[in-house]
Amino acid sequence: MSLYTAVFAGLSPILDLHPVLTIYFKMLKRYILILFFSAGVLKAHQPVMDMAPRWAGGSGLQIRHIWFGSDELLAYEDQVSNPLGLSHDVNQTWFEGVYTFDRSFRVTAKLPYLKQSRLRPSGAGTVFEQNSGWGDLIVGMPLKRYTNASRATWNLGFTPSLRLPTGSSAGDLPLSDGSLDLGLSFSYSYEGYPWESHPDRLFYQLYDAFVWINGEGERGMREGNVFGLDINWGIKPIFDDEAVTGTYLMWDLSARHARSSDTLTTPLSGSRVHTGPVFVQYWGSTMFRVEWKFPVWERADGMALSRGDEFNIGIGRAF
Amino acid sequence: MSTDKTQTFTNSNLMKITHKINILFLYGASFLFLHNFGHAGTLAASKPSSSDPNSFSAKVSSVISDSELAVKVDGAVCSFCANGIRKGLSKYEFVDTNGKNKGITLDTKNQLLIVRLKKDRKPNVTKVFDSILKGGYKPVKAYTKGVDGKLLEHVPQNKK
Repeated sequence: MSLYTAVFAGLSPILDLHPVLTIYFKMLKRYILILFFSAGVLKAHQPVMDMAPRWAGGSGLQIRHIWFGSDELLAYEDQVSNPLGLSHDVNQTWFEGVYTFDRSFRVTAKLPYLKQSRLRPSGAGTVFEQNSGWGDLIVGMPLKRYTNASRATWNLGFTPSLRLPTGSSAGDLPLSDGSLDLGLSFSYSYEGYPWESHPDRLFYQLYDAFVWINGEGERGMREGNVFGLDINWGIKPIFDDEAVTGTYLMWDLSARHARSSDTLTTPLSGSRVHTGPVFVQYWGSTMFRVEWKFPVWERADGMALSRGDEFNIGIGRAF
Repeated sequence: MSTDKTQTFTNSNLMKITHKINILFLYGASFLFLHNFGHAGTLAASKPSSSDPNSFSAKVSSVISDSELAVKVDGAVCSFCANGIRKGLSKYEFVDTNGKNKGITLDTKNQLLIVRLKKDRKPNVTKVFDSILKGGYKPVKAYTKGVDGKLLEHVPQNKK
């Protein structure tokens, strides 16, 4: 008997007794099988903080911690009552490294340590599940074409990535779907002084459009492909060239669309737009970044928990 | 029936998302065009002219000493990202790495790199240009002061 069948065998009496709840619990059928793979939360950003090192022979290390979670239940775009108190909570710590062969060619590796939990419906009640461990390793090869001008520098980037199934796909709340996935990212980033009316005001912008083409995993799991767009706009109001320090204040906009999977095992689909402020500080070769993003629009393909607010904090160093 | 509804919903949803992304791209493209267009004017205005006392050369002349070398570096607008230049240059024997920032300071507002030189050491400007290129930036022109205090300009042989 599958988990799906077992859970709904328990829910059936409730559905019979309370016809009003029938739609609610039918929609919950999908929620029950939602799995929290790293792909659904993946950012295409590259170390170190999308900025360094651009010099030949340079390397970088960074560690980032991402937290998100919610107990807000969505039915498509609408928030609905959550009488069972269903919730999810995801913590990811990413260990990331980069080596720059030439400013146009880098290799990156990103490995997450995941700690996740959820309260899901089971029978007439709920069951708490949690799992932790290493997730899927992502290896990328950012290719960049730089242009250096008198008062600005910008680059166009293309980054093919492979997500290797290093995470465990065991358990009711697996860390990986066990598939080999391909990521493609197209980016543009600019930093410079674009305004003649404000010649000392530095402006930073990043656009990153990407897709994850997800393969067939283990246990019949298969995530739908994920499309994403990240935008960062910011200024650098404070900097000291002598001390090699500076502060960026930015705004982040992240959009995601996850397509339905071919199988019914992983209905991790829907669309969302998150946005929020970003604070970046650097001292010498060390860069610190903290951001908070909140949902401005979410649409689940059925019933699902909101992603909720997301907090991201990281520190990186270039060598 | 249910599958049809789901399919219709998915297609409709996808179209809406695609439409929103298109709008975002259009805004982005417009912005990029505007800032690049504005940038061209800035570039032309900043070209050095030796006859003009307000020219870039004149400013450089007033900033550097006899024991310093200055380089106009295109793209060097962030001191964090330019750490590679500092790293590359500091290994040369003619650079005085004692003191702050290993003797290498970047003025990001003017994209002017100033390298402190060891006493009685002649800088190898070609090596300086190479380090800047390897650092990911574009050297435009280097400036040193001659024995008479006059500003000397050095242009890279092979501009990239």
